[in-house]
Amino acid sequence: MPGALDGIRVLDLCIILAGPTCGRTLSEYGADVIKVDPEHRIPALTPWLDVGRGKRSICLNITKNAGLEAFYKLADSSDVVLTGFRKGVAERLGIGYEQLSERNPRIVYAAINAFGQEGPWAMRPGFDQNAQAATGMQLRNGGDDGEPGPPPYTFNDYGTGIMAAYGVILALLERERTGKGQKVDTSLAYTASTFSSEYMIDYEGFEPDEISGPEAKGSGPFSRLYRTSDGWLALSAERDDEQKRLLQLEPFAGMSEGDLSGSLEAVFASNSTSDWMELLSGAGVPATSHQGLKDVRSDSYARDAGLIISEQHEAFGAVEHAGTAQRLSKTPARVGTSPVFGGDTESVLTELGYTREEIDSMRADGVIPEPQGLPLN
Amino acid sequence: MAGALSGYRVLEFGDHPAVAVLGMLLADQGADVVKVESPSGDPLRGTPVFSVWNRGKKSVVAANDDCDLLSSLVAGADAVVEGSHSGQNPYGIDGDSARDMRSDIVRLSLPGFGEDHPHAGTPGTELLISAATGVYTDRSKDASEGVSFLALPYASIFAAMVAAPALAAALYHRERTGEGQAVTVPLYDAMFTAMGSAVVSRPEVESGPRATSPAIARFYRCGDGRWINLNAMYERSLRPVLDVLGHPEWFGPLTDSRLYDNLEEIEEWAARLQEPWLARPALEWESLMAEAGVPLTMCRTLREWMETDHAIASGAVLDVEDHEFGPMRQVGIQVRLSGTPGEVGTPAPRLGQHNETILAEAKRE
Repeated sequence: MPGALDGIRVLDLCIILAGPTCGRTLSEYGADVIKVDPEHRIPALTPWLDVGRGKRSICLNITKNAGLEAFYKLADSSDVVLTGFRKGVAERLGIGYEQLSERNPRIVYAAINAFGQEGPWAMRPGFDQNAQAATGMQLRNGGDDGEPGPPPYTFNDYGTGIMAAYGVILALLERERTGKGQKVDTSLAYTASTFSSEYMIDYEGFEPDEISGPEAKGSGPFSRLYRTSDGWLALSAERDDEQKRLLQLEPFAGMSEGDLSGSLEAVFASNSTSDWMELLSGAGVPATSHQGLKDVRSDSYARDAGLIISEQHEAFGAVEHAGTAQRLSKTPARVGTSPVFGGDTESVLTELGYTREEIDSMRADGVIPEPQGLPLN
Repeated sequence: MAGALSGYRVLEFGDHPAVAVLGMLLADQGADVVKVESPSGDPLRGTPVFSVWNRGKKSVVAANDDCDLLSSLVAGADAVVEGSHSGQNPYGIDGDSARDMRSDIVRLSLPGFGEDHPHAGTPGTELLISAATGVYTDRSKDASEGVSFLALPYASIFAAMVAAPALAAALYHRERTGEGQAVTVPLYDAMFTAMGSAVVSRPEVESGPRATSPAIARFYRCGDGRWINLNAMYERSLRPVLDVLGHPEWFGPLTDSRLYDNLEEIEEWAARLQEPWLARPALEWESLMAEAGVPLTMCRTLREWMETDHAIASGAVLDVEDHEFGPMRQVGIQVRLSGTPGEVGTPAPRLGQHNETILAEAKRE
């Protein structure tokens, strides 16, 4: 079956997680994504197996003239370029939006960084943790007195890459109408703001009320985690009828509004999670047992649904990584496998029309740097 | 200026935050999002967050048996997005029935659990999805809490993010081929995308040299008791940090790959590194290190972030004149396209505010 982005070629110059997630997402929709790295930026293998999926990998030193020339040739015949620089850095390298779109007006160009392309912090470097620090996420996780901390998964990094892919596909859609590309700007701090949007509010009379700290168990007696005799149970009786049904069950009968959380805590602690689940699901009260990452990833559903994939990789041997979550009936998402770092340099240059001799001389001149083998850990 | 999705009409059904946020991401980019509500309205109506997640949309009230209205709505739409806590669309406008009416429509569904999941049919609330996928892992230092709740609705918003490019890709395919399709993004499944590197396993690959020491990517307390987050993971940022701190001689030992495996020594280095930060307040360190090009940020509260010059100048926050709350500061537009930047054209709609205009439109067609 076709991919929605079949025929679209993407050059991915991004590192770490957010930017490469954008390229990976576009590859899931069928784009031909070429990861372009200099040799001094050898990535770590674990994230490479995750966000490198579905890409080809080339090494090219674009600070040398012949390298920049090769990059221009690639960009001239591509649809999308993904970058992860602070404001101004791409322009210094000769690969800013204006520079590339002058050569190829159809180019869609994404700029993905920590704090965006506008405002006084546009020049500041930063990783996901810096964006989370700036936007209140880490202080909230730590609570009033504790050391700040990140959430358990890397929501913000991945979310940023996925939202950049959204912007890129919108720009491709717009290009169908106008024939022209455009620049897409998003940042880790903007994504953190979207995740915070429920509380990132102000108006006259607004009273902020945010739950914080590692001791938090939920947002109210009917919507929280309870300790059972052998684990944890999440109760999510948001609607009146669900709450009524809960309080009509024998173990909870006669509980008053007073310290409802305390009363429920005492009762839930007296029995096992599976016993509670049986009782609650029979009564139509929404609840589930709390699962840790180990349980979730080893669950048979994760494999059956293609969310965890085992692969015999030609270079890395037996590996496992996540699959794709989105299901499209006509243009199904592709999982793809991760390339060997720099492994596609020659074939991509050959496709561009470079001869054997030219490639050898680029190698001799350090324009094609020698990748130093496997990614780091 | 018009957004990239201007001219596309999207019908939004359901009471799940994930679908409301998806609708916002579409409306911010110019889509004509029509929120179809029951006569009692979305359960979040009246709360401030309703005004954020539903800005730029239209509201049509429809009884669940009003087939004429519903089919005329579907007839004029390019896409239908739906997500309900119950997993059921009260209007019966699910993927299949929308397809029966229009083969070229894009139908996107955000169920909590996929229909092949053993929990299919369980309400996909933020709390249940998060509890079922390891999000509430214990964050306390001494692991005494057992579990830790998170206030931000990460699971719902992340699923909305995963759904946004999926919908855009389906629209792009439709633009090129005329073909619609069904898109499903179960919230539970989307969490595996967020786990990402955490579920990578590579038993046959030997560990090689580590790139950095964990002592140079962590939190340190400053002279005013506030925290900074330091990520000096590259030589070009670690050298200036140590220069500004007055300890260039620490560079060698801090980048020694053997340090990575010795937990005790890492903590000794962290304690040594903690000392100099106490000499200045956090904000001062942030400015000094920004000048030196170091990824270092003071840990702010969300309120403080909203008030920074940067949040305002970069458009991370924007102002909306809301029907209910008056002048209101909200999250900005997450993705900015230079030619079609999108905008928040109108505040969140009143219940049924657009019944008349939409009905009149339908009659004209």
